[in-house]
Amino acid sequence: MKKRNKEKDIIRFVFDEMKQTEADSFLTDLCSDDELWDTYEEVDETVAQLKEAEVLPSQESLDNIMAFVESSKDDVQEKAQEDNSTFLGVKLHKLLTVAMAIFLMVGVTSSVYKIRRSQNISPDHNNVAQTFQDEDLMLDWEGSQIDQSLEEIRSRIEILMSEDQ
Amino acid sequence: MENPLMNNKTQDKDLIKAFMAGNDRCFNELLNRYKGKVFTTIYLIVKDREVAEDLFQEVMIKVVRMIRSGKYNEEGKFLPWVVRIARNLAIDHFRKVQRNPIQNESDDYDIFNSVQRSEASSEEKIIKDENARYIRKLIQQLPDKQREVLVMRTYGELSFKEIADITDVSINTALGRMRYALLNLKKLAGESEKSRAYEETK
Repeated sequence: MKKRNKEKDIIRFVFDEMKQTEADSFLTDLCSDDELWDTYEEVDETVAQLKEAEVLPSQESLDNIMAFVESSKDDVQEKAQEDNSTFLGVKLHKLLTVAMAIFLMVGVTSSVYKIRRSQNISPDHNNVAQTFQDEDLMLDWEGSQIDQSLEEIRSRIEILMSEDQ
Repeated sequence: MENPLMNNKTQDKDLIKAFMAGNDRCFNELLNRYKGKVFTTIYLIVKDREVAEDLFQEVMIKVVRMIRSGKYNEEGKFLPWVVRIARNLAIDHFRKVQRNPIQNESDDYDIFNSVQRSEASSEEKIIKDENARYIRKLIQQLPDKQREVLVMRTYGELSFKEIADITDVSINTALGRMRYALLNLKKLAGESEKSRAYEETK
């Protein structure tokens, strides 16, 4: 068990995966234990040989990769430009839609309000209800009637005040 | 004028940044820096040169796409990141073929080694190539799990902790697999030497 752990320590030491203090302490152990040192040398030599067994890809593979890098560069730039213009386009489009919607809402509301004001709708509550069929619109109508009444009151007050003067 | 980015001291993250900014040569530098390690990792996992060549291209194209889409985390190390991608693609490959990889004997008639041999025909180079090919053959005979740890640690430069994480084992198990891989390599080399000696006496 102890030997097995020592071998794992050798592996960590060879692959430089020990903290400096641990490595220093392990090195002391190595120097004082012949058997451990022999195992270390064996592992170290094998790992060094392994590194020499590196194999390279073919030039064709490397050329294909670099050809992809170059050809896809244009795609990336085009896509980036496309994305940018689309991004701005979408923003402008949204802005215009919102502005138009607001403009339409204001226009329609003011038109309806003007039409209502200009129409002398019967004060008969039942007729109004029949005409508009909608409670909200009826409330609007009632509001405009109140406005008219207030206007009349205000003008009468003004007349009265001017008569007093 | 020499590009200041193109020297060995330039850090991977700087090359990646420059590549993201549109400098393709920086990716070429990264490719040259790690082509051997990444390719060896793939080759020793799939044990087939042709498949390894295809997977290597697939891995690098994925790497290019991921860097360009900003999915590379520059805090991480580049090589272990690429090796993780390579391992995943190799696993996908095995899933696709749904069978054990065919052991391709192409390493015996390695066209690239032949090219290298014709270019530098010194005896020393030939011996070195022979030795490298012999070691690769031994590695390919290791049990899958041991080979995986050995390859990812030696060529992919993943730490034992990183290997433990991606293979879903403890660090102790990863270290144990490495230990057995090295012991088995030694054993296989001994057996190989014995059979070679036997062949010679026949």
